[in-house]
Amino acid sequence: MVPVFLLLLTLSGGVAGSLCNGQQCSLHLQLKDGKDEVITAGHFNLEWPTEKETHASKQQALEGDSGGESSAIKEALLDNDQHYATRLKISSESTFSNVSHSIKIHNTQRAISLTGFSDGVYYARLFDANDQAVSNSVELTVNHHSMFNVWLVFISGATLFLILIGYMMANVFRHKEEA
Amino acid sequence: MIISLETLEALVLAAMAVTCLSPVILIILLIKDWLKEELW
Amino acid sequence: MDYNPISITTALVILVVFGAVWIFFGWWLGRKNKSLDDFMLAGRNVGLAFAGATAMATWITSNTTLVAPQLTYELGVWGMVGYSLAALGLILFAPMAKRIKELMPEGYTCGDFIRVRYGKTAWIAFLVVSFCYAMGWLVSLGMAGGVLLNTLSGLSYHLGMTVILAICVGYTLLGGLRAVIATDYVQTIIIIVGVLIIGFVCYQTVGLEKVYDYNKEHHPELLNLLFPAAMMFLFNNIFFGLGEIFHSNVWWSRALAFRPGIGRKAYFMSGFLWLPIPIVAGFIALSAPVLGLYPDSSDMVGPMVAANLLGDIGAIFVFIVVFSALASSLDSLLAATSDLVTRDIYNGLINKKADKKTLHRISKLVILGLGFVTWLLCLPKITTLGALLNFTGAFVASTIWPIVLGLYQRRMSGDFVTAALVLGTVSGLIGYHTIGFYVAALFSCIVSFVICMIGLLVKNDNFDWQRLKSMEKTQ
Repeated sequence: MVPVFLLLLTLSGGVAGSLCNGQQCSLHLQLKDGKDEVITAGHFNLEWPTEKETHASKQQALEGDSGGESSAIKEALLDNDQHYATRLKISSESTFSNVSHSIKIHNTQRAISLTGFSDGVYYARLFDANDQAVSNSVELTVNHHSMFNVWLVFISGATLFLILIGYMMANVFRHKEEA
Repeated sequence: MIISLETLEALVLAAMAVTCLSPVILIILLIKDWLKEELW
Repeated sequence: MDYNPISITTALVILVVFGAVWIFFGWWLGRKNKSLDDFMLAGRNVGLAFAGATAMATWITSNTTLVAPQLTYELGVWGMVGYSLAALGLILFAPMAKRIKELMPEGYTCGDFIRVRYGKTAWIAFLVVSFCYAMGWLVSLGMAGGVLLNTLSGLSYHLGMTVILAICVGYTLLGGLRAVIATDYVQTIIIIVGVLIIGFVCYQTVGLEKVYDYNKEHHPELLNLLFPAAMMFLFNNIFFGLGEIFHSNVWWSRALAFRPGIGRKAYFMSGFLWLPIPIVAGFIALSAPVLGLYPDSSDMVGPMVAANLLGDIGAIFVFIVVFSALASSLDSLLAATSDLVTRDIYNGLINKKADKKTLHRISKLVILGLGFVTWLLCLPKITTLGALLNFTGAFVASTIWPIVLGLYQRRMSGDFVTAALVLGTVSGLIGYHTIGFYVAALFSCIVSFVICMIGLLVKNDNFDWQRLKSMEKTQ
């Protein structure tokens, strides 16, 4: 089991890629809804699962249903796992020179739900108490539905609704008089 | 097109006012029904 | 978040106290139940106060108390206003409630209506739609109970879900619709007062101007009146709400249970009084960013803000309010679905000659069975059940036109209704998968409308309304 664990550690290190102060980042920040998903409603979820957690689940997936041992390990690892990130910063520049949102993060928090963003490209990254980056930087593309589609859906909904109200006004609400 | 502060305030305050009314209305109706013995 | 604002002991004390009070209440009211009509329809003589409150309470579900803040957080002002427009379902159902009571004074369920009015094929299609929806709603309510208890107190999901289900099954079983309606009254008052207190404290301590300015700078879309996703959501949500109310036996059984002349007033009143509640509940979500509160997942934004503003007391408040909201819908749904199973499946398909005494016994067994099935389905805690509920939008929106036309047009025929239900649902599902959840109900309703209109043009059923009065059985 230990070699598998080490193998996965090196593998995932390679995948994570980005550097924090010349070293490997301790946290991997990612978009929950899918890596390159374009955000069409200005609302998105970010997560930074524990490295151990991903390993445990990968390990479990590799071992298949080989018993409760690995899931027990996973549970033990999940408990109160703390990280160093204290803030999530969002900027429209990849250099983070102009930060638009700086959000406090609890040291056991592993996900965040953000909302109300206008069209544009944003960058999100986790920072520790000394303002050092502790995660990779995630690029977020917010591109709301085109107004053409919106009006199409909106107007067809409104038309059908007016027909229903019209019918009900004519037949349902005045039914008493007919009877 | 951003909603104005006044509109938002009016919306929230009106909603709260009507919500305040509803328990009062319900309790008055209950007492009325009860006095007329028309609860059920 | 890893902290639990209330202790497990407090949560259990609240559960036990509320559970005991409601079950006692159910037993106490149930003593008067002598017949099937008493049990299923509360003696068919419910007055205005109870009628109005029960309609309101049932429509205030965990959806209103948890999802209204969630939608406001995600879709901004339109999310909040759009959600409150679900009240249109109650308001538009008002005149229909009157018509239903007049057309079928002896009826028990919406299934009765569809069977007599449109025939057996349409009836079966309708039952499938209705059951998919009822089970989706039941399971999502049971799960919401477990998740809520778990988030606020750390009590295990399975234990919390089991206790809440057991309490609701308990008092519905003991008291029937009478217990459901009476507990709904108390629950409505609790919910409204709780939501108001939280909303008022939020308005006082945070201040609307601050909320407005902060969001304008950092989350501008929330205040945008031309927010694209929110505009697409608006009418879809209205049709979803209309479909839910128009077709579901929860609302039909109430229309039949209310005293003659009460239904229309009660539904109008409850609709107008319900309208502002999602705005009060939703508004607090707008203040989350300015308080620095960004939830792990958006459905917990309401409880988070409340707990932050009111401390531990706030968490207890949220707990009691959401618990009441859950219970008031869960009990109604249990009772109404059990009526549908007893009348339409048992009496309609299995034992057509069953007398009322047998049906009374069967309906109690069905409540127990439904509670058990819901419990089983809640056990695996499939996290996508919120999505499942949205999924049912495709089903229920196809029923809007068949129900409305069926109540008022003699021409409308069963064959076209079957087609409208099936094809409407299918196109809704296609829309759901190809475009997104926010068009499922809309597509379904549009297709069903077109088919119904064709039906009205090409075929005349010339239905005799008297057939509904005598409640004939299936041939």
